[in-house]
Formats: sequence, C-alpha cells, structure tokens
Amino acid sequence: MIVTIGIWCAAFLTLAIFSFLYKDNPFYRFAEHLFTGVSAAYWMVVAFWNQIHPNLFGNLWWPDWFLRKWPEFTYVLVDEVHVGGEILPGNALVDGSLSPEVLASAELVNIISPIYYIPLVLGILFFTRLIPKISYLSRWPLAFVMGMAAGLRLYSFLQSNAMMQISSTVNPAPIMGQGFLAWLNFLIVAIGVFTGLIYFYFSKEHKGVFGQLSRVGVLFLMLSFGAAFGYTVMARISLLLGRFQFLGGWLGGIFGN
Amino acid sequence: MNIFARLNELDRRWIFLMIGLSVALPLMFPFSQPVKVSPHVQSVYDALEELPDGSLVLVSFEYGPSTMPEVRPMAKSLLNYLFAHNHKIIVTCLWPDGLFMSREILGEIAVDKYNLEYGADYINLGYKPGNEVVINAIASSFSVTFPVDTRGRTLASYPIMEGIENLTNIDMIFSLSAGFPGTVEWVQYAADPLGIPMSTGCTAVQVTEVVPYVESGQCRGILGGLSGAAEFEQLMVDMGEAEELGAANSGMAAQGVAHMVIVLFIVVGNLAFYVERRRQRKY
Amino acid sequence: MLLKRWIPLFILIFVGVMTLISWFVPHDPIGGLGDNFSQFFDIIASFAIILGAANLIKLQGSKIFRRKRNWQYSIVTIVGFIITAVVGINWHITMGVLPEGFNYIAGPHVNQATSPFYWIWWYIFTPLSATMYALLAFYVASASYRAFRARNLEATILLLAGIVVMLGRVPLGQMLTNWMPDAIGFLRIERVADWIYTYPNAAGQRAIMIGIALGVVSTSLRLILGIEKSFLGEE
Repeated sequence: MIVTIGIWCAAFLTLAIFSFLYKDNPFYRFAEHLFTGVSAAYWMVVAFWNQIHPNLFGNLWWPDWFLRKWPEFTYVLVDEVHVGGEILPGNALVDGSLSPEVLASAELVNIISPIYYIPLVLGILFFTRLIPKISYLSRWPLAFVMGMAAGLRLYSFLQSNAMMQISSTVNPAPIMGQGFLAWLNFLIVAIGVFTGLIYFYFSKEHKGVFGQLSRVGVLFLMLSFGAAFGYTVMARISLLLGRFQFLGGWLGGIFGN
Repeated sequence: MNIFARLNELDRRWIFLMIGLSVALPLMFPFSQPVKVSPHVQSVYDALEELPDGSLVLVSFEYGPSTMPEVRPMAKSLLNYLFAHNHKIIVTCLWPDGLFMSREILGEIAVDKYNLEYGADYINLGYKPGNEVVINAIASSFSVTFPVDTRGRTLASYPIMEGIENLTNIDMIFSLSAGFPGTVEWVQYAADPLGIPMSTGCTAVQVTEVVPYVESGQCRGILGGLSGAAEFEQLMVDMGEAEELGAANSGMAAQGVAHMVIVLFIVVGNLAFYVERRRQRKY
Repeated sequence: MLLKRWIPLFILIFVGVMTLISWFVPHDPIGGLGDNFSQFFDIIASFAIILGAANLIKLQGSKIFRRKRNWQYSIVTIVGFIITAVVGINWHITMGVLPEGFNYIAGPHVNQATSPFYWIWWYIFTPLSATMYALLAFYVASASYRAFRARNLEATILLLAGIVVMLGRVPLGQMLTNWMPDAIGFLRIERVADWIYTYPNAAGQRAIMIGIALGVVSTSLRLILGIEKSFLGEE
C-alpha cells in the first residue's frame, strides 16, 4: 500500500515537473517548491547523521546519565562498555547482546578528544550569519574552510592538473616504438595544448604569429567544446530516458502490461 | 509565409513533442543493435583484469537519482564483475545520494544475487560531507573518518577491515561519478599522490573533462555515459563475465533515435536560417 | 578589528600553511595536524549544510510573513522541509515492521526501507530531482534547433564535432558508416568520434585544465599569503 502510494506520488510529481514544458503552472510551482524544501531537509538530515553525530558528538564529553538515557542514540558516543572485566564496543548498547540489567551495571566509557571542541565552536559560529549584529564571526569558520581548501588545492592542482598534464604532453616515452599515427596524434595534442595556452595568455596582444597561433588554439578549443556538446546531449537524453522508463513502468502497472 | 520562415519561427513546444516522442517510441517498440566496444572501455576492463582475485577495491558512489539512468548500469556490471572475481569491496559515498544508491544496488547484487556476507566480502562506509577533503582524510585513516559504517558499527568489528588502515591498503579505486566531487578529485587526492591505480565510470557530461587524465595514465580507462555503460555490458557478455545485456543496452535504441532527431534539428535549423537570411538579403 | 580581521586572517594563513606543509611532511606533528584539519573541515562543512537549510527557511518564512508574491508556495517549501526533517531526525518513526535482527538505532535508520525518510527520498526527492534534470533534454534539443548556427569557421567546427560525437556514440549513428570497407575503416564515424575526444578534445581540455590549475595555484597562494582578503569584505 505504502509502495503504491509512493509510486503514484512519484508519477504525479514527475508529470507536474514535465507540465512546465507546456507553460508555467501551479502544479509545476508546487513541485518545484516542494523539491526545495525536501532537498534542504534531506541534506541537513544526512549531514547530521553521517558527520555531526558520529564524528563530532562521538568525540565530545557527555554526562553518564545522558549516555544511558537513549542508548540507540548514544551508542556512537560511547567508546567502550566495560562488563565484568570484558571491554565491548559502544555498539553493545544496542545490538541486543546484553540484557538491560547488565547494561545498567556496566561502565560506559566516553573517550574525549578535546580538540574536537574547535570544529564545534567554528561550526556554531557559522550560524552567526543569521544574526546581522555579530555576523562577522562567521568569517572564522569561513577562514578555516578557505585556508584548508587553498592548502589542499595548491598542491593537488599543481601536481595533477598542471605538471602531470604538461609532462604527458611533452614526454613521448609512452609512444616510443609505435607507428607514425601515434606520433602524429602526439604532435596534434602537443600543438593543441601549446596553442590553446597561447589563446589563454592575455598579457600580450593576439597579433601576428602570436595571433595566428592563438587562432589555431581556438580551433582546438572549439573541437573540445563540440565534443562536450555532443556528450552533454547524450547525458540529457539518458536522463529523460530514465524518467520515461519510470512513467512506462507506472502506466504498465495501471494497465497490467 | 514560406516554409523556411515558418520553420524559423516554429513554437518550441513542437520541438519538445518531437524529442519526447523520439525517446518514448523506441522504448515502446524496442529494437536492438550491436554495440561496438571503444578503446577506453576496453582499458577499464584490462585494468580490472590485472587485479589478482581477492583484491581489495574501493568503489565510490558519487551519483544521484538524476544521473541514475547513466551510472547505475555501470555500477551493476562493475559489482557483478568484482564479486564474481572474489574481490572484496569497500564502498564510500562522496554524495549523500550515493548512500541510497549504493544501498539499493548492493542489495540487488551482493545480497540477492551472490548472497555475500556483509562485513566479510563487502562493507558500506556511507557518506561523509566534505567533498575532496574526505578523500584526503581517508588517505590517512578510514576508522577516524568513518567511526561507524552504515549499520552503526565500528569498522574494527568487521573482518574485511582487518589490517586496513587507510587508502594505501587499497588495490584499486573505482569512482562511479556524476560530477563534483568525483573522478577528478579521486585522481587529484588519491590516485596521483598515493599511486593507487584507479578507473572510472562517469556521466557523459564529464567525459571530455576526464579524458586528459585517462590519456596521461592517471586514470585507467573510462566508461562514459549510457553508451559507455552499454559497451561495458557488451564486453562483459563477450568475455563470458555476464549472461545477458542490461539496462544500458535496452536504452540505446531510444538514445540513438533521439541523437538522430537532434542532429536533424541542427541541420534543419541551420538550413532554415540560411535560406531565410539569403531571401531577406535579396529583398 | 581583532575579531573581524586579524583572527580570521590568522586562521586562514595558519590552516593553509599547515595543510600545504602536511603534503610534504606527513609525519607528526604536522602530518597529524593536517589529518585533524581534514576532520574539522568535514565537520564544519556539515554545519554549513545545516546553515544553508536554516537560511532557506528564514527566507521562505519572511516571504510568507510579508505576503510577498506567490507566498503560498513558500508554505509548501516549509511544510516539505519540516516533515522531512522531523522523520529524518526522529529515529523512532517507522512505517512498518523492522527487518528481523535489526534494532532501531539513530543514524542507520535513514537508509532503512521502513523509514519514512527513505520513503520520502525514494518517492518524492528522486522523481523531483531526476525530472528537473530530465527537462534539460528538451531545452538542449530546442537550443540545437534555434541557437546553434554555423555562422563562422569556429562555430562550424564546434557543430561538426558535436554531430560526429553524437552519432559516433550510438549504434544507430554508427550504422551510417558501417558500409565502409576495412581499408578506410578509420573514417567510420565511431572511430572519428573516438579520435576527436581522445586527441583534439584532450588537447583543448588540457589547455583549459592547465590554465585553471595555474589560476587555482595563484589564488591559493594569494590566500595563504594573506594578499587576497575579499572574504573579509576587503578589496
């Protein structure tokens, strides 16, 4: 029953979105707004249970009474359950292996990592963005995020996207011993990369030989964009195919075919 | 008004109708056509073949409902192959949707088809927010990044994680990707710095962006979009790894007709434009 | 000034420099610090997601409160949000009998088939998300017809490459050149498509990638060195 309601609901929402193709209408707007609300909550819930609950709460301090209050929540916060000299993982709180009486007398060990109060504080500071008077405090977590991203990306982009690409463009080792065509393709790629980079070099006016080379670069870029366009069409059609297959299944269910 | 002027001013809803029909009709009246395997798909297979039986493969789910038609068939063929060759699989998800995608497909392949033991043959670590930083984090420790798996148990309680500390213990990474974070980030933060072999199955949109990594050897082959998935299915059948073709092949007829119609749109659109422009210049 | 400028600047530079050094010195204490920063980043990213949700509700709430145009639809957004959030956060709400041997525990409950959160994901979020993207197929077709004009050499090359790739990747398109004898097999459309995206496309993409990489490196350096301060609202 729940599944049937679900399928009808999904079919209605699919058609509501498709109705926009004819023209804007209340069904589409309903579906669009529902999507916004549901997806925001969905992201929030998933982020909470997959990161904040195990990775943050699991490293903070909790009072003993709290750890015992909702074991199905605190099993992640408890690191060890000591029962009669035996040390079990926190999951013992909920896996049914211990009776409530044994659990009541067990010692729950909550190992704390004090440094995790740093992301807690920084995370909370993000919310000052909603309070105009102290919103500048949200720059602290933002600074952390940007610093981390800058430190990580500086090296990885330099390594994977610049050095390795340049090296693979100019290093003929992989095609050594191969035929004329392999060399021709190697040369085409080298010319394409070189002239493409010239096109992106804006500190010199694109005139004369430099301008001609830049124009060759544009042609390579156009071939690249053309291929990207072809693949984009393919991707979009595949997505439509998926929705039509779903609608086909739904209609098949109604008409028994 | 002549026909070219009319074509130039055609209401876009007619175009919508035509493209809708070009996808719907082949689905209603399917026809099959042989798929040719391209070199990049063959490279993926070759990379998988190089793995000794019983290797540890990390499969990362970075796609969602919107890109499921393209990537799910790849995921299915891949898991079938990996489980058939007794490889152990660690699943991670850089997209929240990947959590549900992986759960659904593991249920179908690992549980229903192969009847494998969770925690011994495969494990689903689930989703972590943080994009590429998650990759950077598991490069140093799985258990710190994932204190518990999708079943709420510590990783140390599973035999598959015995002796597995971080990404350097993995034999191969396979990214099932639909965008950011995905294939590119796995190359940048795992394959390149740690030297782990990796391969990918991704949406068609990403193909042109990922190809340079494939050509430079940073990524072993690529399954690109629905056609890549269909070619991989065909290859699996050809190599005796699978008995029948899957969802990607059954969608290729509709895909083909729709591509033809769009090419026709481009040609007719240009023709109408030029004829009309010449006519207007004349007068 | 200390709270508004110097502390965030110190955080950025310290975190950036330590992360960068940890690439080269993976040993403690720097390596360990880098690992901790990764964990912190992931946690802070989760708070950012929650902030995004809170911001959305604040905006939609104010739309309803001020009776702005189409405010009624904002109610749909908020109701959808609240229902999803409640069934997602409260691990006790179930829509059926739990599978045998499974206890109701917080966290894993979201991906259980009996969870209403899972139901919402599968029957509401999935069709909405997938259909939104599927709409693009119609618009890409419309754009192909109305906007892609071979006005000059560049545009013609773009269109031809697009057409070859589109036809070369599907069996129906490949049939157009299947008649070609093996001697000129390299001219078959799938071979040409493969060639385009393996060589000229890779060259073009590489030029773009290298350009972007240099841009990212210089922006990162500017950030880490404290030159780029636009995130502080400064020039």
